[in-house]
Amino acid sequence: MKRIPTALVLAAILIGTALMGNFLIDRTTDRMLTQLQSIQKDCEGGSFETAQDSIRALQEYYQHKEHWLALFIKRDYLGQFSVTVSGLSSYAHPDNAQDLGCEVQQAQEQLLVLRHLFFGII
Amino acid sequence: MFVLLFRTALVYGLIIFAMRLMGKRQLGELQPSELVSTILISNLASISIEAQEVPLLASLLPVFFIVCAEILLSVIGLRYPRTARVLSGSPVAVIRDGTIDQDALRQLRFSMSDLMEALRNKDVFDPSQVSYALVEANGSLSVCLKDSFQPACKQDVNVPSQGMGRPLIPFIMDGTVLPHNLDWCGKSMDWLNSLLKQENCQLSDVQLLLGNELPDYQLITKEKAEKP
Repeated sequence: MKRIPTALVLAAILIGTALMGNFLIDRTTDRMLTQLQSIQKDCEGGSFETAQDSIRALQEYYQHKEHWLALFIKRDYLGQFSVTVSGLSSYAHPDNAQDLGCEVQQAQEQLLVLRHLFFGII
Repeated sequence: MFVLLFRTALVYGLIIFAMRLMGKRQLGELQPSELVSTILISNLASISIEAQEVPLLASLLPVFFIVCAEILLSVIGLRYPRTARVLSGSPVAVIRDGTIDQDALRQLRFSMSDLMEALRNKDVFDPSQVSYALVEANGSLSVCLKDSFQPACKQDVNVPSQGMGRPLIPFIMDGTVLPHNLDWCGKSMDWLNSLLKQENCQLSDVQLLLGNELPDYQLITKEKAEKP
């Protein structure tokens, strides 16, 4: 077995995988944070139907990206976020505006924790 | 449950590949960096198997990073011996001309009982018989006895060599021919085939065939397994 070329190829694959993971997590979480901010703005502005549409779009986007995120992030963190996001649509109503605000903030915090755990060195 | 079995099988196969990639150095006496990498790899592998919530990629990436680092550092160590000394350390002489170097033992934090134990493992019971003893980077002790205490060899007692040739090495193992060994002893496939014909057996019936460059050989055929 030619160890040195194999090691170099492996090192290249590792760096490539790490970069791909960084890019994927950064882009996905950034987009979801933006979507959550827009849901919060719609809720504060009273446009609950727009908020519902945004929540649906967020849920679809997350479902689409979940299996890629699962390659790099612990499943319990993703599970927690999944539970929070799936419950958002039930709060998109004028009577539950404050609750929706709390749930959106919780989802944002979970995403920020996820980013910190993934990108933080210490 | 099948997921657990699949993860275990996958991790097992990948760790074997990783250890093979690192080579025989890992399996023999370990240098400090090799010991560290072996311990880390075994811990990471067990995390991969036990913790199902941790993605396989997240736990196997560090394993292969360690493998690459180990191989590349060993290449750097070959090119730049100073780097190898920093990573693995240098051998230290602890006995010279029968005298124990107590300073060297203190530096190594080697007690006298450690030294005597290591000497006894080399069948040496008297340090004054030792010309030179080194504690290697991997912690083992290499011993060279004084001339007068070394066992005699044929040259010392003027016994002529009997032309025994090279030691017997395997030509066939478990029915598989080892062509490099045949070439090294100047034998060919034709010779092998004629030998098997002479012994009235097929290649697949051979458990072990040993030989050298002389006509000597030893043939062991496979035994049929006894029915219970």
